[in-house]
Amino acid sequence: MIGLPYYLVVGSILFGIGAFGTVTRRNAIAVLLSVELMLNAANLNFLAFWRFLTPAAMEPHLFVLIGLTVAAAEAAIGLAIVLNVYREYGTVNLDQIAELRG
Amino acid sequence: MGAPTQAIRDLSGILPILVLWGVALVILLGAPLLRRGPGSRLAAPLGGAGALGALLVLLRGSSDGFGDTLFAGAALTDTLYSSGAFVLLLGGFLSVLVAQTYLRSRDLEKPEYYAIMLLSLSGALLMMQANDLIVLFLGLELMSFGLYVLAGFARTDAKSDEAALKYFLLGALASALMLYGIMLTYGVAASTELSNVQSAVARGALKEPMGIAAALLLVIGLCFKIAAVPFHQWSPDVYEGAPTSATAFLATTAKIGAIVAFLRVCDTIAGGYHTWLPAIRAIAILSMIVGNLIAIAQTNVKRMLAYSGVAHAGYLLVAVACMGFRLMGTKGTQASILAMTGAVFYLLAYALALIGAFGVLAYLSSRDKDAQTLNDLRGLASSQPAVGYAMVLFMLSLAGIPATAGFIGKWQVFYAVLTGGDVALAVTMALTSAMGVYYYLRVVWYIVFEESAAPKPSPTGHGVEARPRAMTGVGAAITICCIATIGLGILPAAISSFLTVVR
Amino acid sequence: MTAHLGTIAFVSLTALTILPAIMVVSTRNLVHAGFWMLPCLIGVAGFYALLEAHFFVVVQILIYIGAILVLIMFALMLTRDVMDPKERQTNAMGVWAGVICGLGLLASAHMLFRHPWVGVTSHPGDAHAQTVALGKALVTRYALPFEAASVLLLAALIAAIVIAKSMRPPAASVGCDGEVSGG
Repeated sequence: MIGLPYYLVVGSILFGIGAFGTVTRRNAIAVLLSVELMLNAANLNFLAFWRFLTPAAMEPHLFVLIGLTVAAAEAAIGLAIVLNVYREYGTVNLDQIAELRG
Repeated sequence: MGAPTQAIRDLSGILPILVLWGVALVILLGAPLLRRGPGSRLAAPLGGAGALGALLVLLRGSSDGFGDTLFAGAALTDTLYSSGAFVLLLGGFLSVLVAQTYLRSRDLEKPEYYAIMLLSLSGALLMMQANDLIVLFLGLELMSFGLYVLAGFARTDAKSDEAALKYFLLGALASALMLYGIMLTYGVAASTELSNVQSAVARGALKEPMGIAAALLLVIGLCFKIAAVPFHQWSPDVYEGAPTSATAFLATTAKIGAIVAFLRVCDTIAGGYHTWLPAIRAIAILSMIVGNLIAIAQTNVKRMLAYSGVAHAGYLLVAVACMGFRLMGTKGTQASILAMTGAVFYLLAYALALIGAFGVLAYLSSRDKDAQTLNDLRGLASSQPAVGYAMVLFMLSLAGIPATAGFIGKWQVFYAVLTGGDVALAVTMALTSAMGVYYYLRVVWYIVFEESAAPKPSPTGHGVEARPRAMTGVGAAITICCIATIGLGILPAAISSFLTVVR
Repeated sequence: MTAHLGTIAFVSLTALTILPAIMVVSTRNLVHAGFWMLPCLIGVAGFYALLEAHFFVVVQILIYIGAILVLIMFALMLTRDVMDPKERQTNAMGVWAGVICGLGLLASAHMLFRHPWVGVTSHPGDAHAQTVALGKALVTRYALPFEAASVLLLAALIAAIVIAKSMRPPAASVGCDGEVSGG
């Protein structure tokens, strides 16, 4: 049986990849994809904790459900905002969306 | 589970949230009627009634049943919550007043604006009431979603869209970090309920690397929301790009909700202060210095207020740092309680002055002109004395000049940190406040001593006196903010029965 | 024997998850990045199955793949014309971010293996029992977060409509009026 740390390490690799993408991607939608990777990593680790530390508890299930809800809501709002920006700027490249400068 | 009385107790504990949800639903369902025609005048009053109703329900409820946990430990009601909620809902009500005039004059008004505002307020309330990190997270998200949308509410204005996008992307990153932090907390404490987290900390959870990582991720997530250095990059762009009424709302709501949650979280993990106190102190000092320094260079008032907001986040983080003194003897305990009360008063003073200042900008805006820069304020004291001197008062309050509410708030936090014995923080706070006076007084200079550059508006032109909207929402908001700022500056005790945090 | 099977399953799921995830954040063609997300999410669902969280296997596939990913793919395709696949899709921070993320990963792996886990060996209930228990918990103990989550979804729904709804007559649809600016 594979132990808890292995699952957690997979989760943190996923989180690290997502964080890397969030910081480096120039396309707003690709940033959103990377954030989804990070949320997935948190969910995966929650369930790993549940399985190995507290298999009788309900909390991790609730958390994962909430994580999914937040991810779905975030995707909906994010894409609405991105499409609106695309309508105004004709691009979703974050380097070119820079009217606001001090 | 339990007797029906338990259910009633639970529901009455979150009654302000339920009122906000109810009114938001009414606005959403009635949106077709409220969108055009005679009904369109009703949207803003409904929104205001929602915020005010929640405020009244809160004040009625505050006489009984305190210090309870609700919903099997998911939420709680205590004096930190009730005083924070008082400030939040008051700020929400004033923001509705500002929005009513501003949105109308810029042709942006839609009933959904007020519904989203109320939902956002309910999120902030949930965040302050949370007794479980996951509920805190949910509240934070509910609050933030509303704020992203309000920032982008002027959809045909490219700057507003850009503000929404930047706010959203950084907010999404912050919430992902925070969720990861909550996950790690669960790994350490096997629960995310604050009381269990507290006992895990007492067992030494914050000495383990995983506990440290969890605490740092939570701190980073909250610092994003209050725009503390180095997580502040979004704030000037968002403040500038968002419609002025939305800026007033998001600047106050996010700060009040996140600071109260921050106080609660740091109070919970006070036992492990070795871990997080240095980080908070560093962030506070950096925010105070960087915010004040960059604000000096700004000519756009909204951007200047954004950087000054970074500095204010620093002052408020000083109060948060005082939570770490709680277990350092009686002086420390006293300091932590003083800091809670001080922070809530500070938030009230900040909300009044900030909403007032953005209210003045909103007052000066019309369909084809969005007042934002120092030049727009030039000579205001002679062209429109009432508004001009109101703006002067708000700037003085933000600067923390005596006889304004801002001074009392700053003094209370300063006194708390001195009681805690942290001289370095106190000295930084005093020095940077003095530095901040410069750029606030520059605004005052423009208003009072500069000649109006633009030709005097003709009486029949777009002079504000000629505008019928002088007596509408924003005028009322500015008046209330003025009276409260002076009143609380002279008689801070008048409100202490609502705002004192006891434990 | 089963132990071996478990190990094989774990290793292959790791590959199924991590390699596509790397492609998601590195490929220059963004529509491909969206498609690479698919095996990654299926891999995570596989991990859930391995962890005996059966309910979430289904939820992961239905919600993440069926709803969220489809939504993102739509957006990627609607805005596809402006992103040249030959162009570099990462900004100047690439190297530094890579180094920092790599160091963070090494540190967290070290920390996770050193941590004194007090595991339990008991198994969770079967799929049916788990789902029943979750359903009960959602309407009793966790009623507040559950309700708040539903309000969150409502807020997101309203917000998305308010932001994305076309303000012009129906003829002006997304993607063909990019040159129209504020007015």
